[in-house]
Amino acid sequence: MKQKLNTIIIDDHPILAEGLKMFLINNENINFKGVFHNGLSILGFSDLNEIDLIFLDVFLPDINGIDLCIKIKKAYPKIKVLAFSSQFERSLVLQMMKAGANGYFLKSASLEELSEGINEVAEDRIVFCKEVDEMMNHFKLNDANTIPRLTKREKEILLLLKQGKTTQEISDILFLSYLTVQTHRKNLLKKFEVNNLMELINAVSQYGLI
Amino acid sequence: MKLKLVFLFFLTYTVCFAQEIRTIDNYSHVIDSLKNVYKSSKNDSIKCLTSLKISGFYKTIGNDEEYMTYYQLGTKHALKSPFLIEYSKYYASLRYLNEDDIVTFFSEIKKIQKSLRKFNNKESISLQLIIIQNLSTFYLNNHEYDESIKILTTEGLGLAKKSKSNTLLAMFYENIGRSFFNLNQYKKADVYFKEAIKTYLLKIINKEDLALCYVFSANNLIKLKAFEEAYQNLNAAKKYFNLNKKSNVDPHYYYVLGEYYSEKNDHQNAINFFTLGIQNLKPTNSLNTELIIKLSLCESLIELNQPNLAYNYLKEIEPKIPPFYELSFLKIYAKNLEKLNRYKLAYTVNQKYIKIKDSVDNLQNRKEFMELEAKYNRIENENKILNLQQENQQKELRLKNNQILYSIFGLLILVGIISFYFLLKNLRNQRKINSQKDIIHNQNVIALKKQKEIEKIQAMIEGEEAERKRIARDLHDGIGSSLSSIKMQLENSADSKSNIITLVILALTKSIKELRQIAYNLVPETLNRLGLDAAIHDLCMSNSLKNVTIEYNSFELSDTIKPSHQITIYRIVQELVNNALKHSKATVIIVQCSQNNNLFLITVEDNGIGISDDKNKKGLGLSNIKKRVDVLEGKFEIFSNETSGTTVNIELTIEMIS
Repeated sequence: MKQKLNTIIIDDHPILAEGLKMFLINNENINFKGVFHNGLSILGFSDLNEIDLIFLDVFLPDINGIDLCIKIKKAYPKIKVLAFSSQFERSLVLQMMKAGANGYFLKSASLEELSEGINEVAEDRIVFCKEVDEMMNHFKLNDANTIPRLTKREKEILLLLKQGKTTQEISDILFLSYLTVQTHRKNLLKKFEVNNLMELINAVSQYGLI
Repeated sequence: MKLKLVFLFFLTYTVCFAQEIRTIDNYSHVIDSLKNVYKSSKNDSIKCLTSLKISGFYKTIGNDEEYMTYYQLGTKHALKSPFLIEYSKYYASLRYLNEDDIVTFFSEIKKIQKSLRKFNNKESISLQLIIIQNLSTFYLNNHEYDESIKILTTEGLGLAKKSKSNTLLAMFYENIGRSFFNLNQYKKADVYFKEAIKTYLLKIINKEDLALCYVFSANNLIKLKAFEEAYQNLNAAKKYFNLNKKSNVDPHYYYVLGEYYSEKNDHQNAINFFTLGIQNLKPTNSLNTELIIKLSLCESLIELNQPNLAYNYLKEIEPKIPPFYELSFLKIYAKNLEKLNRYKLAYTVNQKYIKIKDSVDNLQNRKEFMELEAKYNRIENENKILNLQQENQQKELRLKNNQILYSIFGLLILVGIISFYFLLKNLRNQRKINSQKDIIHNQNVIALKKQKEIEKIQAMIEGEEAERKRIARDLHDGIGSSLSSIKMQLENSADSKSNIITLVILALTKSIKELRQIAYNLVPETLNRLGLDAAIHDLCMSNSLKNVTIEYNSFELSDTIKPSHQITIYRIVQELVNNALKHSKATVIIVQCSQNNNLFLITVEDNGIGISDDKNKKGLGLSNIKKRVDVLEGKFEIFSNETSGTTVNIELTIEMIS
């Protein structure tokens, strides 16, 4: 690593920002450029084009970190954004990564992790702190299950559909509203990624679900 | 004492009415004028009619030869006209007009009259009237008095009126008057005579007709003892004919004058006038006229004790007496013989009289008796009918009254029932309405209560959520950030590698993690930031463990669901997932959310051990879920058994951000 990374922090929390600042100043790979306490102020920052790395809080008072990330990445694709948050819900992480972030760190991550992360980001790798990494792996496992599961109600409706019953007849039989049955029907088509009843019944038979 | 029990003074058959002829001069005059008409006319039907009429006149005056000539001439002109053929038949039948063939004559003319009915012209009508007149005379001669009157008054009078001929009508009235006179019904006769005179006076065509009518009327009035009026009529008659100038009214006039005195018991004057009458008889006067006058003369002679003279007259007329006058003749004859002291003969004649009278009376009596009987029966029947009718009427009246009564009664009852029914119905309705009102009121109260409760719950939930949110933020931004900051500073410090500091850092890390979990549980930041779908997805993923898979499916979830509803839905799912994780021992939990406009479906299903009893259900925070479902006007259903686990289906009605 020959060149130091021009780095800024965007975080509305002064104490935390101060802690991180202390760490960054002490880091030999970082050329610390400053702390911003709200999201939109960064867009007026004249030297933004010289910035290499941004520690971005996911939740800011004025703007969503995800949206801000998209803006930064649009204007300066070479800037590396590390999401820095006290929360790490799967959806948040995914959204952040979708927005173009280069990594996701929890604020509770150890400084060691941070140092390693900075090095890896500098080398254009995607980095997560340990906890986030574990969680993401867990989800990958869960998502691997691709055969759709059917609820009991869906099974009932499917059986009746297979018997050639209309939506109205089914709603009469199951004492459900027409709209409810219609919704289930639509859901089933989506669930099996089919376009019509024939395909649905074929797909269901193929999977041996009923 | 008057002998005349049945005195009939006029009875003759008429050949024709045409141009009423009373004098022999007139006949030849009329015949001549008719002959002229015949010659000048080129019309066959007129030629036919005139020649036939001429034949009729010749028959009347007894010239049978000329009669046949003109009759045959007439038939030649009749050609093929059906009317003229029928018309000529009458003149053909005239050949039977003598004493021997009289019955044949009448049967003939009856037929002819019937067939003439088809023809509605003047000639036909006048001929029919002649026939009717003759038929009437025929009936009279046969003592069929009723028939004779009936045919005149019914058929004849109608036809005469129809003819629109004044003369015909007047003559007919006169004839009816004569017939009534012949039947001794003088009052009725008087009416018709007066009518006849009135009609004649309207348009005088033949003065002698009128004169004759006055004479006949006077005769009738004499019978009614109206001598003054009779005398006036005779004077009036004199204005219309020339006495002693060959008029055939003369004998009638003298005769009636004679009757006038005879009726006043001035028999000498009566004899004088009767004698005058006889002296003035003309060939055109009928035999009957002669007979009547002579009979009356005889009567008066007998009264004046001149039976010998009377006997001569009677002997003279004896062979000429027709059946109709026989009785009168016999009576007078017997009386005459008695006066002559020829008692034996008188007795014989009287016997004969009595015999004939008996037979006539018998006939009459029988007829009368039968008529009486019929009348009696009719009256009886009529009475019966009347009685029955009255009874019926009474019955009907009674029935009607009863009916009316019943109707009124029924109506009253009906009205009563109806009013009662309506009253009852009204009452019931009122009660129903009241109860319904009560129910509605109760329902309203319940709904209001529920509404208020829901509002309360909503407020509570909202308050709770707001509080949670505030606490979560404080935790994050306050303590959380502080702890993170402290941790960082410790790590930054020079002696960060020392044991104690390392331990503190570890403890801090754990605390921060816990704090984060607490904050997350209070309110998931993702729900606010990334929406319901992401939040529930996170919820499911983060709760998936090694031995429990939570599968999340979502369909068509909109980003624009009202935030408070998003939180409600999230809480419901969160609660259900927590329940499943804690109690079901399931290995798979399916969480499914779908939206169809304002309809939101939630299904949370596990393959666990189910929920054993109600206690558990309550304990599982289901009431919290139900409260939230109620807030969104939703439906909540739960199926649970040991083998197939628990299924919760929830339907919610949601609102969008407007």
